[in-house]
Amino acid sequence: MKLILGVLLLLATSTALAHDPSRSLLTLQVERNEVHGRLDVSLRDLEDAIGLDADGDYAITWGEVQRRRADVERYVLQRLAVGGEDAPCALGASLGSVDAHGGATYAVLDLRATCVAPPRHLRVEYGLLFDIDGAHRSLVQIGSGGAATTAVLSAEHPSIEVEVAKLSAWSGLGRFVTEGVWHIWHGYDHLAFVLLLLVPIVLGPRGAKQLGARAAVGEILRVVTAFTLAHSITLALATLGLVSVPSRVIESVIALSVLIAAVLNVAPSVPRLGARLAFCFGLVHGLGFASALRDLGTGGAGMLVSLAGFNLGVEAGQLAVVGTVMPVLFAVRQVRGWPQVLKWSCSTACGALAVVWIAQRLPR
Amino acid sequence: MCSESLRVRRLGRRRASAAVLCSALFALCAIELAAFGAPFVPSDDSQVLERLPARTGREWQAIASLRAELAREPRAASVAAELARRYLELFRAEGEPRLVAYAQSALAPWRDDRDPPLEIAQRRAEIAQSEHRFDDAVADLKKVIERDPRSVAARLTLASIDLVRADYDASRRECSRLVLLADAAVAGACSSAVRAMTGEAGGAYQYLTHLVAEPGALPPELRVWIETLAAETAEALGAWHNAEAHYRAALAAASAAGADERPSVYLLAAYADFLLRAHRPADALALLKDAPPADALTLRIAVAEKQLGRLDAARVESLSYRLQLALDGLDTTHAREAAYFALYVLDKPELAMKRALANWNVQREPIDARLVLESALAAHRAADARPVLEWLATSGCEHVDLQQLERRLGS
Repeated sequence: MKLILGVLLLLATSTALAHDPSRSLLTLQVERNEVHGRLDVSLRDLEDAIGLDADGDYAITWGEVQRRRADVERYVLQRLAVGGEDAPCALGASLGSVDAHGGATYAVLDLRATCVAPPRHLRVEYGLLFDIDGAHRSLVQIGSGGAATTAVLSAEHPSIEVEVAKLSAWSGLGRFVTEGVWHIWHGYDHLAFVLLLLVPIVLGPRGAKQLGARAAVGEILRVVTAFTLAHSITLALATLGLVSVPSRVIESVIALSVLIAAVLNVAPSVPRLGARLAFCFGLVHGLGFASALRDLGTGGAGMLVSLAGFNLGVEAGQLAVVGTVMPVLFAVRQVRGWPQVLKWSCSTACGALAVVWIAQRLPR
Repeated sequence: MCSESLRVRRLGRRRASAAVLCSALFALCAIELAAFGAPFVPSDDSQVLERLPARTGREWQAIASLRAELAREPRAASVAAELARRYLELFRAEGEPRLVAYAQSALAPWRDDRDPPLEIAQRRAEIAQSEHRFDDAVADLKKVIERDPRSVAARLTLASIDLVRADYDASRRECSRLVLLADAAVAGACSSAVRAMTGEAGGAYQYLTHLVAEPGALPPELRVWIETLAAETAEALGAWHNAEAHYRAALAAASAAGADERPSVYLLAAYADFLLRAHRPADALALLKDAPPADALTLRIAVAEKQLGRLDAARVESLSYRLQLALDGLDTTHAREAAYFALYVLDKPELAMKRALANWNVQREPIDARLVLESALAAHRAADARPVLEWLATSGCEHVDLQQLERRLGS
């Protein structure tokens, strides 16, 4: 038997599953010396902890929950504590309703705590279910004055202390700024597009009179602003869920935008579209940023914070690129003959890359 | 689109950005409200709020009597170990993580015991293994082997952990020790599993088919395992027809093992993946029709529905909730499931890439390699797939699908 078990477990090695996770949701709101909120605990977990299915028919009814109401409240109060700097707050819990999360039903306990004084640091100690299920987690959100912070409590980290005054929606900003910069520097398609916008402005159309340095800088400002404005709009709209386009389509159109910009740069007798082109395709690039931002998840920071941070990062990254490329282009245009060579080689290379991207991204 | 640009320019930049900010704030409020559902008070006392899995049948009767025995004497090591074993066996078939938690609580008196009875150490290792705490598991298994060098279960568990972690030399060593301790088929299948990953898939496949060729020669549980290995090896070799025959034989052997026996979640997931790769979503759905509600299987159902163009939004929402911590990188045990979900269901290759790479640091089976390679392809990040490409080169692993992905990444 022992032998067979070992054999069978070989198969089970890697099927750890997240099916119906043992999880609770705790939200707390601090207002002066009052803390109120709610705790959602799944009925499955309460069944394991104190037993709800009185008649043993493998179905938990609202009647069965209500009959064990006092026991559930006692169970929670014995294992949950909220406190200020030096004294715990008097906590009350009352089970009056249920809610559904991820296909499972949770008992909802309204929480109300009164502290001796408005807490400067709020400490939450959580100890439900860890004795039964070491993998149990509690997702905690603590808020005050419109801002909030989140944490995950586990058997290893069963408590959290939050400085109420420092609770700030902007606390996760830095991470998103970095991600934004990182995204523009590693998203070669965005880089290529920005580069293709700059090249004709500085290096000039063939045969036509080149723009003077001042005019060129002004034009760059206009083009970059148009691109920025456009992608900020769609980034916001898509992140907030007001616009939704499949990411494969966006990726393909972004690649197409690079190809079009490359062709326009070298096509004879095409008027420079500049800011208008930048704006139109900026809208599409913004959708691309949004799908990257969605992939990051908000990680506990607010939606607006992640949006603002990511956008700031993208702009900073873009500015750094423009700042690096612009002097190089201006230097090149001093050398006779080079501007055309550079313009052509740059556009051809980017165009070729774009063709590869389009081939890769076209829906199969 | 371009007329829009003119309009916006006319609007003036400041007013435009103010408008964007306002609409963003408005949408934010709406989202915050929607994210936290509205609790409700059921209207009727008899309203069923939650169905629990029916715990009837022989296994649960045995568990109930073991629990009663353990309640009388919580430190009875053999009772606790047997109870934990039964929970783990059910976990294998149902994929319900609470069952692992129950097994763990049966062993609670020995939680911090550095030198528990052998049978407790073995179960504790199996629990750690199923939660991907491989270092803990190996530490306990080494203790068992030190005190009982003839323990087949400990060596086999150790070999399987070494295999998942791509430590092929160590795995091969444990398998070779089994030759003198266990049935020749067990030792042979153990080594074949390693050989299949290290450039000898053809030889391994021949040996495995030779093992299963004789009808009735193997106990059903052993047959299930060897047929599954044969199916996976045939799949690696690109012999689709044979692979399917072996998957079916493994399923048949699982039901032949006894009335209470069910195919493992692992087997169902592997066969479903095989069908989905062949774009046979209807067959995959038929396979999973009566499967337990394990997330690994719900994921496969979602992919099948997606291939059929009728993905159930509620299913996606439920999976998103369940895998939320894993998607955020806060739960590494389920990184494989998170990567699978992000890549094949959510179409978020960049997110899938992150989770797949995190998972690759823990588990290195072909499915884990595939998740990294396919995410890299979809996210246009060939460079990030380097750890897996290096593994393919050094292990000598032959796997037609993986090698094809490798070529596509290289081009």
